[in-house]
Amino acid sequence: MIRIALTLSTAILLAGCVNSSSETVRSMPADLMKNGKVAAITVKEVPSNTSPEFRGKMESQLRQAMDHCATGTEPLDLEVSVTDFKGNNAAKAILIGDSNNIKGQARLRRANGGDVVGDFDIARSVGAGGIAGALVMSYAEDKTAFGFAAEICKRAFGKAPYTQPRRNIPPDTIGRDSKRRKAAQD
Amino acid sequence: MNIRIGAALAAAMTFVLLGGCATQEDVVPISYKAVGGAQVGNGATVSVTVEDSRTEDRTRISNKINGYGMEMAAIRANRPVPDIIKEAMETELRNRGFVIGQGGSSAKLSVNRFYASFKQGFFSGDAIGDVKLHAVVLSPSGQTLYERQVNVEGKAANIQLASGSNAADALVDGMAKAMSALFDDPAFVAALAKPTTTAFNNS
Repeated sequence: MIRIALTLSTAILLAGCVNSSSETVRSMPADLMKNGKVAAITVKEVPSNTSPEFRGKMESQLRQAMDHCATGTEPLDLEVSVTDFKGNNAAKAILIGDSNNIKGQARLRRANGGDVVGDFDIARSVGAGGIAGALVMSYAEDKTAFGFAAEICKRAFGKAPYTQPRRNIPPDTIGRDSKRRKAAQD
Repeated sequence: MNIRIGAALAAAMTFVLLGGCATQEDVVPISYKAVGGAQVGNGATVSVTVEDSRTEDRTRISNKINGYGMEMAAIRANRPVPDIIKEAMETELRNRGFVIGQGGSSAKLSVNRFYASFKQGFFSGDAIGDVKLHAVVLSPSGQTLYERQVNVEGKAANIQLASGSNAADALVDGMAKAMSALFDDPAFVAALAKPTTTAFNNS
């Protein structure tokens, strides 16, 4: 009994969690949820505490997500403002736990500056502790950008978040790939 | 038998640990306490209108946080934010001898931000109430007599819980500071009381 309790409490203490506190300010019409397609994406604002690459990461993640979840024919424009970003501190995450947080707004309009058809406050947090938690929360900008895009998919188009694409790590640096490569060469 | 009891206890413990108040929304009243001041209104009539111009956190006034600093359940006001600001402004005006009504100058307020965030400390934390208002005073003929952006931070210091009541306290403090910033400005009072003075200010 004690073993079970100890195992459970350790698991809870070390485990992380994801929380979305996004809210729909104006929901998409049902026909556009099914038949919308995102033509243009504009990232209007990013927080000053992000890296110079963050805007590009957001645009890339949003494009991949929208191509995945908005598969209709009616063209829409997506405007995104990221107003708040907080990446975790690895040392704090290992010792007492920490979190990655991102907040902003996403607004969908009919193409070419038409009427607003969907308006959302996006907020997503990932928290974790321990060494595993710190690893899970590494690459905070990439992962929060992915989370933000996935939230828009869920809120605007009712689609479950898609699977995060694998990071572009050279194959030689991945053990399994280098073994396969070596086997192929042999 | 022991395994079953252990499993039941473990499940109960999980519910206790995970079923904390951070996952439950709070709906709280914002009970503004008037700052008050000198009787400068002399019975001048003023109308007040407030519009919601928030561009972020438009449906809530705060969020609970957990031990990792993650945003959890929303904290909401029990009535629309513009109504809260309008009532606070009207109370301050009445306390200074103004009469609320049509025919005189009009105070137009836009709420740009009304949100409390929680800061974690070692022994305790703080709630910070971010209040941003844009104030314009118009003469009866529609001329702009006064214009100012007020950005202030209220604070509920040394708190133990990221709760709705603490968020409300920080915002009430922020509202009081915003009202003080406006009413301590002689140009604002002059624009309301004597609609012949023209003043522009930014802070």
